[in-house]
Amino acid sequence: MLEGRFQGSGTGDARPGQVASLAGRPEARTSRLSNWVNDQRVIGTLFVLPALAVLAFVVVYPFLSAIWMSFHDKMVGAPARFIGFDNYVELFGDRHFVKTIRNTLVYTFFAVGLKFLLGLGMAMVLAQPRRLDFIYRTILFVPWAVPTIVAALSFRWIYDDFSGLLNNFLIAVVGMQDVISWLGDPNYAMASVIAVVVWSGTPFYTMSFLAGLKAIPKEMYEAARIDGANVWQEFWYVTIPQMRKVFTVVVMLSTIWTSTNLVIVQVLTNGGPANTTQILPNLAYKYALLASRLGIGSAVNMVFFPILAVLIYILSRRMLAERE
Amino acid sequence: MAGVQSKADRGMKWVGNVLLLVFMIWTLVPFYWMFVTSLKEHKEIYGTEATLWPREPTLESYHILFF
Repeated sequence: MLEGRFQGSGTGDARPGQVASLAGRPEARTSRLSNWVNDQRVIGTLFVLPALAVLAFVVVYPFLSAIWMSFHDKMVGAPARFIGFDNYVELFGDRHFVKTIRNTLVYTFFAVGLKFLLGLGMAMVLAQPRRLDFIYRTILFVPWAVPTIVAALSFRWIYDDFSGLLNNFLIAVVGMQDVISWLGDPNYAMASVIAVVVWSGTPFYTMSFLAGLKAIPKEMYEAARIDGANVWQEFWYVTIPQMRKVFTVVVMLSTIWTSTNLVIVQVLTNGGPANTTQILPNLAYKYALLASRLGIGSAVNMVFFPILAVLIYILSRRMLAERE
Repeated sequence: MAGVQSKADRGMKWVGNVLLLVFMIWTLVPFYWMFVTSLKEHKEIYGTEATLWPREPTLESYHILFF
């Protein structure tokens, strides 16, 4: 608009008439392209696009591809042949498959439950003021930091019938008469596997809960004491309500991680004596990679996925529901 | 100092320390076993009795690993 005042000065000046008409249409002052490029929403979208592309390739495409494969007979290296629901019929006709589903639910329930209780216990112990507590924290964290397969192999050896630490300890110290086949006896195998899963996964709960516990203001405990609360009441009416959000997040994450963890079962029992420790991820692995039948392997996962989704939904509804 | 805390507090401290000891043992035993096994000779590992410390500690396994 200044250009109109200094007629003839400089180059490329707008003439008065031009300025007046320009002033009436502000959007023509800058080009449409530079307007578009400077729009915050466009810039934001462009920044997010690379991440979206990665997600699309690494998550969406394999997922859709798995759904597609579950309706085909696809062996590795062979072309896919459409067979409709035949894979699912084969799965549900096999009574071992239903047992596998049941095993998965039992295994997940007990593993997550035990990890929760132990993790909370460890966290409360670590939350107590103590000299050198960073040492205890570090040591208690190690089982989760160690690669799962290392933990699994270690326990495979501890559980061994004749050379294992556990049997030898029980016989020598407790006076047990005969060896127990921890991984070979159908009655003990699942419990043995769950013990390893708990050993390996509890530190995640411990550290998360410890952070949550430290965030509870001390004044709440003092207020509770003034009101006459004892230790148990302090725990139930102060600690638990304050920790609910942490509980929700940790349990949901861990449910997913635990139920899809095939390493420990695979290394310890490979499905176990008579399928007693077979869980869905292991079955999918066996079909898809060991037997090279990608079609039915995908079908196993397609059955697994809704079960998992329902679990997560139930958990999130229960835990995210705000109490008054 | 001890008299300032209530009995419940001191009880909780004691319970906490015992539990901590249990948790530490639970966490460390597998590593101890791993370490000890790595120093044993083959026949002692696969034998019928397990020992808490190798009869003749050997670096044989490490040798095989690195060379």
